[in-house]
Amino acid sequence: MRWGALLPVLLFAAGLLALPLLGPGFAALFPDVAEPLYRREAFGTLALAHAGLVLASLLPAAAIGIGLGIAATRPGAREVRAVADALVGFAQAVPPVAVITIAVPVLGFGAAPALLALVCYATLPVLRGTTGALATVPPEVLDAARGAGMTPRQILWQVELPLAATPILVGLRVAAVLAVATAAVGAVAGATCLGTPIIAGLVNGNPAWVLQGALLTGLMAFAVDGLLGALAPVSASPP
Amino acid sequence: MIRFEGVRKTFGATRALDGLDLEVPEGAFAVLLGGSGAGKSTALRTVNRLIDPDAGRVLLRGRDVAQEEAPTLRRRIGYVIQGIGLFPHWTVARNIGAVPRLLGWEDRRIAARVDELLALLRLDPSAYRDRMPAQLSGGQAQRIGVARALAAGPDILLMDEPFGALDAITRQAMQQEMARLHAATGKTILLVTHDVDEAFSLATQLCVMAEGRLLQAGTPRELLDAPADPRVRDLLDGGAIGMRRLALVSAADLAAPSAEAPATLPRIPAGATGREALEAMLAARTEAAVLVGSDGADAGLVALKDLLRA
Repeated sequence: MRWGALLPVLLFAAGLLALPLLGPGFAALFPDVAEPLYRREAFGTLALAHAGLVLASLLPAAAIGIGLGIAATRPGAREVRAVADALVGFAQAVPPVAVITIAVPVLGFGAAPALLALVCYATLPVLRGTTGALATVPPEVLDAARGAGMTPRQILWQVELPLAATPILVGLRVAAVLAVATAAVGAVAGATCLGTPIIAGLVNGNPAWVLQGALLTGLMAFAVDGLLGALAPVSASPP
Repeated sequence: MIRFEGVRKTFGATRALDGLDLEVPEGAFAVLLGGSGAGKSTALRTVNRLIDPDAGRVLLRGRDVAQEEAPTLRRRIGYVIQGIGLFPHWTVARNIGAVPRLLGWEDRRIAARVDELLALLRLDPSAYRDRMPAQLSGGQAQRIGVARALAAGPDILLMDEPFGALDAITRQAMQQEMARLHAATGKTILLVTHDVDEAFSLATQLCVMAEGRLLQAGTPRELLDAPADPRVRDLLDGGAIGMRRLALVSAADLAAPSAEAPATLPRIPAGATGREALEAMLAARTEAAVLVGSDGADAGLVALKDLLRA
C-alpha cells in the first residue's frame, strides 16, 4: 500500500467539502449566471449516487469480464474467445449515449439504462485485462502444474489466478476509471449522479453548474484510480 | 515397468509417433535419444497422459495408463521439464510439497519430507526452504524441480530435457547428481535428451529414436558395438566411438596386478574409467597408469595396450 496513491482521494474529499463554500468565487467567474452554485441536491448526495452507479455496474462487469476471460482462455475454447471479443467489442463500439437512448424506452428513465451502458463499457477492459493476464502465465509453469497432477480447477485457482491477479486488477482499475467518467452520462436518462449538474447546466444555460459537475467527476475518477492503484501498483494504461 | 505398444500420435499434419514399441525394465535409467522431431518428448508425455495416443497403448506395471484419471496418475509419477516450471508465487518448500499437498498429506509430514529432499539434493534446508524461485540460480532451481518430482515418492521419474537450459558445468554436476540419485533410490527413470554425451553418462538403457519410432534399445555398450541401423551409428559416433567405449569400461577390469609399480607412473583412483586412465597416461606421457585403492595402496597396473581390449 503506497500512501501517496491516496492523495487523489483526499483531493476529491476536499473538493466535495470546499465546493459549497465557493459560491462567491463562481459568482465572480460567471457574473451573468443568476444562480452560480448548484443547490438542487447536495454534492455529497450526488457523489454517493455516482459512486453507487459505478459500483453497481463494476461488479457485474468484473464478474462478466473475468468469467468470460477465464472461459475464453480454457484449452479448446477458441470459439468462446472469438464470440466474447466480438460481443464486447460491439458493446464498446456503440457510444454510451446511444446505449442509454436506446435503453430508455425499454428500461424507462433513471438508473437502469445508465447501468446497462456502464456494464457494456466496463466489461471490455476487464475482459481484455483478464485474457491478457492469463496469457502471461508461463507455459512451463502450466505444464508443471498439469504434470504434478493438479486438476484444471486447481490449476486455475492455485496457479493461474494468483499469478494473473495483478494484471487483472489493472484491467479492473481501467474499467473503474472509465465507469466513473461514463456514469456522468447517465444523467441524460435521469439517473442521479455527478452528471446531473452538468445536464442541468446545459439545459439551463448555466456553465457554472457544468463546471462543478465536471470538476467533481474528474476528481472522483482520479480518486478511484489512486485507490485501486494502491492495491495494484502498476500504471493503468488502457488495454 | 513402462511398456509402449504400437503408440501413434499425429499433431495436425505432423506424425510425432509412428508405432513406438519399447519396454523399460524396472529400475532402469532409460534415456530416449534422438534428433528434434524424433518423437522423444511426445513419447515421454504419453506416460503421464499429458498426451493421449491416437492408437496403441502405454502400460505401467501391465496396466494401461488410459484406465486411470490423468491427475491421479500424474501424482504417482515424477515429472521434470527443461523449463523447470517452479510455481513462482510459492516458496521452495511449497513447491516441493505441491504433490503431497494434492494427495492430502498432513502439514508436518510435508515439512519433514521437504527438508529430507532438500538434504538429498545437497541444499541446506534452513537456507532454502523459505526462498522464492526468483532467488535461485538455474542449477538450484532445477534441483528444486527434481525434489518436487520426488516429493510424493513416485517409483517413476519422467525427465524431459531436464538439464538443457543449464550451463555446461551445472549440467555436468546435475548429471552426476541424477546418476547418484538413481543409484541411491533405484527408481525407474525415463529421460529425454538430444545430447549424446549426457545419454552415455546416464543411461543403463539407451533408446535411440527417429521419425517417431524406436531404432534400437540396449545398453550404451551394445549400441556402440553393434548399431542396428546406420542412423544409430551416425548419432552415436560424433567422431568419438573409441573414447565413448573407453568411458564405459572400468580401468580396473583391464588392469593387471601390479608387483612393483614405478613411482614415476601416474596414479588414478581404482574406480576410474578406461578413458580416465588414458587421459592420465597422455597427461604424464607414460604408457601405463597405476590404480590406487581407497586404502592408498596400489591396486593394479593398466597399460596403454590393455585399453585396446575395451
